[in-house]
Amino acid sequence: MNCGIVSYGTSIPRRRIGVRDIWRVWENVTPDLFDKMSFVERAVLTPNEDAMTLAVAAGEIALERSGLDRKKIGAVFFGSCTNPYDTKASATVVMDALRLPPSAFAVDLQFGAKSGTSAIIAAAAQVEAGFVDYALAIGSDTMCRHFAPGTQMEYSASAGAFACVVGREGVIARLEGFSTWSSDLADYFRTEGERYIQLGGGWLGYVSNWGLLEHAVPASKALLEKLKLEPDRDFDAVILPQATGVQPMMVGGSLGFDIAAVMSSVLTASIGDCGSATTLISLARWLDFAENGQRAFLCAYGYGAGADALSFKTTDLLEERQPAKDLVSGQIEDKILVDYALAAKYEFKYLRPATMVSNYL
Amino acid sequence: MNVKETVAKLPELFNAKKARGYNRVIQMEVTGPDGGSWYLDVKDQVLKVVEGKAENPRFTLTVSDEAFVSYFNGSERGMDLVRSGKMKFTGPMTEGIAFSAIWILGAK
Repeated sequence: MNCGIVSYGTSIPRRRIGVRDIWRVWENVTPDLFDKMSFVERAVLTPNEDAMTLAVAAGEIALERSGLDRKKIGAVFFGSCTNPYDTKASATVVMDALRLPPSAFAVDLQFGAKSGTSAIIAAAAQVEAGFVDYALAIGSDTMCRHFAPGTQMEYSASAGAFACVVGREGVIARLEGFSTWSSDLADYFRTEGERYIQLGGGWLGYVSNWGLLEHAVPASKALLEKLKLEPDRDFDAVILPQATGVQPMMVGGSLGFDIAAVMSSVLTASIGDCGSATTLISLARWLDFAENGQRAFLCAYGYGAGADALSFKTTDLLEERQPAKDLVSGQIEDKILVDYALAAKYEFKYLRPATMVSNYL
Repeated sequence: MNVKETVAKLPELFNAKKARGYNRVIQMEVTGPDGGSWYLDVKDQVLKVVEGKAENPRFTLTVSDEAFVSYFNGSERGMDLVRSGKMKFTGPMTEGIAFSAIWILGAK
């Protein structure tokens, strides 16, 4: 493939809550699990934050870093499984806020927690086909607002966004190839009108990762075979699904990756499960410090959707364009801890506000 | 080599390149007659080794004096020491495994 990431940006809510603060309220799991699952803190949304505002914050950084005239962005793919609106498009709000031209082809992509990688693949397809010179791909989710109080998912469900400009010119990380694996499995779902996401496969144990292994492993194997690359030899970074700290070990072990290398890219303990932004924020952290000519393997899994595997190789432009500010590590460390009562209020779990502008706000 | 000599050698064994973006405080509790408490403060690819207890470490490594030396001189793998109960991590499991990636420990 001749296209790749030209620039990127991320956004992580500043408010966080420690998992033990949640546990003190519910005491619904044995706290030993937190170390095993690598749950320490997760993000908390303020009332004026949602998947669109996080996407705009990440998109603004990506566009600023690209140095491009915004009129050159020909397409916008907004990937999220926690859109603030059920019916109305979100990509249009993001486009307007980022001052992108109304002529840009804009689409909302809802495909579980692989909506972000699906957005990158769709953007790459537009660029490769020559329909546009540059496209903006976004993965943004607010999982924390969409799980019910008292469910175990409250410990890890978090929020964050990743955005990147995809193009042929000025590429810092070339997309070498991708593969995908999709089939129906109702491990997480929400039917029409429901306020909260339900778990179809449970929270703990093998069955909770059933869909993960059935999709992430074949998608990853197909990409390795397609590109004729070896898992334990050809990659400088391995970024795998990490909704829990156990997931990357299960997937990495099944594929033959070095587990220490896999774990260096896991951010679960710092920011929890950011949905479709999870693996992409890890990719951004790697790009913040990677060297020219290095290769990263990335696999994202979306509950009820499937898995995408992508391989990126950094170009000679990476190091000269590496950012000096808004690094992922800085965004992780820039935090304000809140307690459970404030988190529940901020995420509208006690009561609905008198004035609603959407189903969730 | 004893525990104190091994602790003094940690800055040499630290792989700064692998610690990009890895800002952590890690507590080390070395048990046994040669043991003691130290913590590692990793910030902006610089390692500081401090004797004593950290206020809020990301995770704690508890290890026997013999195992501590054999881990850092590269004669025993961390995973084997954990399996045998000579080394224990308290804190997020992912952090414990990633810990091994920031050292140059030679062939085992």
